[in-house]
Amino acid sequence: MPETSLSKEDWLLWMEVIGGFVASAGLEAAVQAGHVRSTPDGSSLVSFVTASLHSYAHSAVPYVRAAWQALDETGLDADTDSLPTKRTDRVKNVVQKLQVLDEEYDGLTGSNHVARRASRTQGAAFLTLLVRGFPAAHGVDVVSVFKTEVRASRTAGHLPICFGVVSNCLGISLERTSHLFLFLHVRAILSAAIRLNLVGPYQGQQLLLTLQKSVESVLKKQCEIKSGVDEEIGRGAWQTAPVVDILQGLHDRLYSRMFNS
Amino acid sequence: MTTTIQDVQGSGTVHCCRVNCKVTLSTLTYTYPLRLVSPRAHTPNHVSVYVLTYGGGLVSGDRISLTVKVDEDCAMSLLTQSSTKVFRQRPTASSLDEIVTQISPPTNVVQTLSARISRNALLAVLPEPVTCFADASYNQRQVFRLEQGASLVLLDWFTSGRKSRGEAWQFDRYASVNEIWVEGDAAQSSAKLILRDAWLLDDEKDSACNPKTGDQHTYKERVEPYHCFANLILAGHRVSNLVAAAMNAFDKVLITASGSGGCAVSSSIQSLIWSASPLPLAVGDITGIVIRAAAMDTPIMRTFLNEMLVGLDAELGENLFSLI
Repeated sequence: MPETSLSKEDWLLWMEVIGGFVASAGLEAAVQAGHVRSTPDGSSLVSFVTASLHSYAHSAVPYVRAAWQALDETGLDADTDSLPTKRTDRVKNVVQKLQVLDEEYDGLTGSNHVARRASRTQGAAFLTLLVRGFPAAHGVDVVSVFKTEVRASRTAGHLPICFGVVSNCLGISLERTSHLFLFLHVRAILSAAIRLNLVGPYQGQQLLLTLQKSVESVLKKQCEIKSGVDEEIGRGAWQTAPVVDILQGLHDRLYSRMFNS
Repeated sequence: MTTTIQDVQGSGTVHCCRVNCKVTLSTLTYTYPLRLVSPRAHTPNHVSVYVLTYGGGLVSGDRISLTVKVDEDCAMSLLTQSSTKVFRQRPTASSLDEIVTQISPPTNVVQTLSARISRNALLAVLPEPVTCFADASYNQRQVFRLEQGASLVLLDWFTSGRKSRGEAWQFDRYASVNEIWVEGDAAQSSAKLILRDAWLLDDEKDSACNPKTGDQHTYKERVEPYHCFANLILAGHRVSNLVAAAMNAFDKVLITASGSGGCAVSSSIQSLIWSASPLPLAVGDITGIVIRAAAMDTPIMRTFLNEMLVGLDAELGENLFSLI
């Protein structure tokens, strides 16, 4: 196979931030409520991003992984010469698994309507991106069926699930997928921070580089998380930043706002 | 097997039903260290049960498991007498020999509640806050199964610890899971999960996540500057006026940023912040709200919670929570 000059992972990275123009992950509310201040070193912003990253790593990454694996386990491409109906059955099977994940994640975001709304919007955008941008990707039929289910409101279509599936379709490894997922989350918040004039664009880039280390360590922690009361249900997903969560929930109560979340 | 002993220890069962037009408890059993006390009911439609533990707190290794069933047209409150104190975790096996020869018993505290609420029934879980002492490890899992037309009031709150002793955010772990399942219309359709609230504050001591924090527990940055957190869930038609009132109150919340320029900054951090989200409309006719709040101290939170629970006394015939 000839190596293309631009890998699909690079493409995901270079792509404009998903929902970057509308989502601030609660940052705008945190600023207006006085919890994040503009400091010369950006420490107040870093605290917020670190907290948000920690919670997102613990709540969403388990679903990104599970969705990525759902596409892998069934061996969609196992025997290419099998009957087309068999392929359809397998696709249906994968989509059902994704719907179960989606419903679970929907329950987890049920207590924060702002986060829930943002996650669904960005998830749908991600599916469309794959179908339009990579019509020949290996699991694009799964994505199409799943997309139909989302459109018919039979499933929520949350970003972690969509991201996991799309990354698998693009041939990005499981490890890189969760890494990329969190990196993009951090980048989206920093991008919002620049728009909110909390930091300048150069400082934003600098912070992104610094926070890259946090992404790595939080992922490592999340993988080795102690078993709780019952890890069977909920895939060991937790919310870990209560203040950030409440602030994000307040987003619609802002008198004036630039972002949707 | 030791597991069976553990299962029996600290378990309790409560069954609330209607006998001769009066709500009573047909079952009320418990085993050490759990104690359940039901004071004489003052109204025919409501009973209350106090969940107590010997010594007024939970010690290392305690396992409390409570099963509750509320039958049709009944109303029941689950309360505690004072805050649930979680004492310091007993150190695990000290010597290497001990670790090798025997598996040391679990030292964390686990509290579970499993409740089933029937049509037109109301369960109000209104405990005092959980207070974890330094080094404590607390795990809680509460699962509620609502039949069509059931109602639930669930308060789940915790504090930073013994703040007056300077012991704030010193516990090792606080984990709380609340699940709400709604049974389907017909018998064949399965229950649907409409909410899974899962909170975890865990000290990642050896973590390189936050090298600058030093002695401070790693979760502290995510809870500051507050000292009391609460989740209040109101669901079902019997508390619909409370849901509407809470939604109205939340709609009146307005955050205006003072200051000029692109970066608006409000003057000071509020002593209480809260947000409210409507429960996702998933199955049947159950509507509700999830309220989350953070306060600088417990009295501020209590005032807020009492405001949110105005009108509950009318439904129960008495509001034991607000008496405290």
